[in-house]
Amino acid sequence: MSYQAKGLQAWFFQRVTGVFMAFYMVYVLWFSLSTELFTYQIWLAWFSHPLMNMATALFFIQLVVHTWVGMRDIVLDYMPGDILRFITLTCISLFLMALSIGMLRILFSLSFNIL
Amino acid sequence: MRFTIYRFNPETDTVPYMKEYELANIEPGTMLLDALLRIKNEQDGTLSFRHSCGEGVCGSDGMNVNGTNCLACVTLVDSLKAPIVVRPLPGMPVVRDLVIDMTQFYSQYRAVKPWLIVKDPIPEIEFKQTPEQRDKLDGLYECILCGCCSTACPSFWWNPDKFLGPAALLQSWRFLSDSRDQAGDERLEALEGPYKLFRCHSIMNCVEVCPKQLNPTKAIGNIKKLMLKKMI
Repeated sequence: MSYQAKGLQAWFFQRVTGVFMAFYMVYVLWFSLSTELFTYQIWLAWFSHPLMNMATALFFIQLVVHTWVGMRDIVLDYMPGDILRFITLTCISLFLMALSIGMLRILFSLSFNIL
Repeated sequence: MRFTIYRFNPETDTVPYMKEYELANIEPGTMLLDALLRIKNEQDGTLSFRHSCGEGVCGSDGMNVNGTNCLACVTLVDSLKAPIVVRPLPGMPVVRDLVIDMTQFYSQYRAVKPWLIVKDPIPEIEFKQTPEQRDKLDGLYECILCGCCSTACPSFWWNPDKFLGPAALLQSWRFLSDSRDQAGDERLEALEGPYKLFRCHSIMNCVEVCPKQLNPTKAIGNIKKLMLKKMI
């Protein structure tokens, strides 16, 4: 049974995405807490900024990669049998794809300020 | 002192069971192996376990004692909480009582080709190493293949046929870091994939139980770092 991003790549992606997401979340938390009167307009302007928009898109792409590697690890460790593993991994990948499409659609809408 | 020992004879028992033994007059400094030998000699000759050198060199008497893997010959009875519960090393097929079938463990060990691979003509007299090159093998070559580490590793329990386990991977790093070996790329290539190396999640059970105080987790980390270096 073949899995995408086999050993080294998966291990490497897991760490790189983890570091990026940690920085992103600290920044989001810092901005949210340090801004007085954090209104919808401020939030919209902040997330509509091209840099923030791109960083958020990257965050969600990396979240999907990070989740995929983590879930794959859990499945390979705990689930016995190739068939059960294949079915579970297919379901997880479909769910993650749907999640990514939804998130990118929201971000794409935000970048044009049409929400 | 009370002992609760795992018993299973496939010729007469359908399921394993725990049997209790009481041992009196245990002298200070008695090792667990000595206590087990006393039980075998004085109370129950059918009790089976492996042992040989009796001083932590041969690695024959690995067993699970009070939930932790150890070598019976270097474990002081005084250091154990009574009742002392003795089981075979976990996750391996039991041949009889505390004797396990190590076939899987040895086949994973063989899979890392634990010998020097040299492509150049072999020197007539000897391979030469600087003291620094030789120092890199310290903490690696001392492994006695007792199996305490691999059988304490959940990843090895879950995928014993695919994950090589800490003992084999420690030996893999021992040859990868040997200046005389010339098959580094092939060795790394053979470890690629989601199972053989990357099932290790660095929980360090192997480090905790190693009776020789070796560090397979660090060796596995070094292999990953070397792979990453080669990739970049």
